[in-house]
Amino acid sequence: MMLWYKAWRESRARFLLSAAALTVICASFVFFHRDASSGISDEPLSYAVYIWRITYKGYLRELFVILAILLGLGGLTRERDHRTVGFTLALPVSRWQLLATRTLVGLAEVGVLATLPAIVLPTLSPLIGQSYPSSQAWGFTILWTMVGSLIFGMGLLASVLFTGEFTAPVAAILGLMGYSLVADISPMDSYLTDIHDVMSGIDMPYFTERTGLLSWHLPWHTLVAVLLAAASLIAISARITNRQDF
Amino acid sequence: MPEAYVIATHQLTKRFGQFAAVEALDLNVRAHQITGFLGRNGAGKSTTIKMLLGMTRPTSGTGTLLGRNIEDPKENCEARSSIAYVGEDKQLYAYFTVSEIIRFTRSFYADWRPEVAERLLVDYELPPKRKVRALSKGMRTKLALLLALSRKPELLILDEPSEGLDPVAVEGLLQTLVRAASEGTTIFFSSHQIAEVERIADRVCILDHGTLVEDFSLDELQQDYRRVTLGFATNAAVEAFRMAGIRHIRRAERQLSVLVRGNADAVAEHGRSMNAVSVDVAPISLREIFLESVQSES
Amino acid sequence: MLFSLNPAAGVPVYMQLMQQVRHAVETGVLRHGDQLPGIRTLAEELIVSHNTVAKAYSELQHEGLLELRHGSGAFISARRSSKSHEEKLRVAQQRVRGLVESLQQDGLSEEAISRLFEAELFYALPPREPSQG
Repeated sequence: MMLWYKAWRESRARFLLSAAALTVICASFVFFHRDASSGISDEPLSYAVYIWRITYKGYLRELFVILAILLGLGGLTRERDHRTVGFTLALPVSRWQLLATRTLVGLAEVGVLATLPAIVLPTLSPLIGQSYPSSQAWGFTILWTMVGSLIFGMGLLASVLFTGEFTAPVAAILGLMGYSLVADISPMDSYLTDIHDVMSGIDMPYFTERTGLLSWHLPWHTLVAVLLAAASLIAISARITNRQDF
Repeated sequence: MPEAYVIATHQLTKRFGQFAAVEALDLNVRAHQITGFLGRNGAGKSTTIKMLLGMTRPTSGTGTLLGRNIEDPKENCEARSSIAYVGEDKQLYAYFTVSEIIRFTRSFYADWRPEVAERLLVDYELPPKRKVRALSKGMRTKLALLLALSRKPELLILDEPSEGLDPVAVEGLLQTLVRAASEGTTIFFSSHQIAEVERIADRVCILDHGTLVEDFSLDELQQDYRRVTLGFATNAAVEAFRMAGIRHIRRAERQLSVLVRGNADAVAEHGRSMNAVSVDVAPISLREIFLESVQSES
Repeated sequence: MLFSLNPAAGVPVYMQLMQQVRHAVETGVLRHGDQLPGIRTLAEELIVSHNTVAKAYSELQHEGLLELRHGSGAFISARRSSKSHEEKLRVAQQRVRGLVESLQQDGLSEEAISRLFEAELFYALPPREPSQG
């Protein structure tokens, strides 16, 4: 029980700050709809397209990706830097348990972050006389949670592989950028799907860019593959953790 | 009576690249005793302890901790539930308050003694509501000790427990250790404070360059180890002293200083028979034997 | 009773404890029936390993100088201590005092005298070993 509490306390500040940032940004995109809308396009946009462009495809997505990486950081390598690793490893719990609690807490936090827009956007939109369908927002929440797990897994792996407060996040972000570049160049295009596009629905059959609306035929195969990739990153991290010297 | 060892290693070795931190270590620590673990910085004490607790994997060799294989994570985890450990770092989670870290720690152990924790909290003057990050170094050390000493473990492993404590706190710590030992806890502790070890330990193990160079009981040391200083009228001949029990001979012109175990009378007698003009037999302190055993190696 | 222990004296601490109890009994500081602290209490008070105190107590028990009662502690049983022995000690002390004074008059330092005594005790006499239980 206390291990959960430890994992929560170690990520609490990061998580709460992230949640606050996402909420504030979502809210301001709603409230500054008129100004922001003319800022991103000369033509008048429908509200749904505006929301999609500015959040699910735009700044919010970039922010979410970075936050998911940050939530994956921490753990025993970081404890080694803080010199508490001896205390932790002397506890009668296995390294696997330590990593598992940290991972589950982190994934739950990623899920909450992905859920926030689905609560904030449909709730606040009526205040400016607009409406954003909840079903749309929840569709994106599902996409973000799944892909967020994979990005979290990258952060986790980076945290296991690299010491140093800054090395791990930089490594994870570089890794993710590298992956995006490779996935977007034309010869690889047909083999690799850019997970950023999966999150936004860009060029995806389940999304219509003209209306800014998702259909509910979500890419389940892709999502399962994403989850499997996340699971293997976590498993690799667990394996490395078990063999590490502290 | 068969000896019960709480710690037993066989040819335990840890290499970091070319450097052997621990080399073919055969270490046996007896149950129900206080064993001091001495060695210079970098002699391999902490690495040994980390291997025992499953924090670092041995390069080769084997070991058991409370009878359980140290290389099997599951067995090692079982052993750890009966072991209290205070590492050399003594850092604790900065984001917890003192009472939170106490609540956190006690949840893992069945042998927690709340009344002892209460008493130590008062003795050590630790503010329960203060965050660990706001504690001074000495307070942090005391908190780390409190978390270990509030239990009634089978084995207590301490890596330099008195480092950073003032003399009064050290006295209190030694008293607590002696009490824990009398209540049935086996104690294995490393220290640079030889005087502390000499006061409370039953046995001493000395590590140098990753190998065990001495392992004796303090009774043996006090009873058997002597320094025999011989003065001669002519230049002294070291070669004449090839006798049982001689550990080390130093020569300064017409003087010989012989460190001998259990055979001081014979050495003194031999000295006289070689016309020594002065024969002086003196007991040897733990400090001397320590310095002697780690310097002669290098 | 008050003990004074020196781990660097070249005599095992348990033997120092024994000697001091013996001496106290011989001089009459401790008498038959007097109680000594329990093993744990004394170990904590002196800050030595309980094994040390336990060994001293058990040796003293073998010598018949101490009686260990379960739960109630350790009691001096000094039937053999007698006036004549105390007398002998007093005489011995006077002789030693006289000798030390005369050596001092000869110009020997305290340290030198002490060293001479120790040296003599080390190899002029057969060492007095306790009986191993």
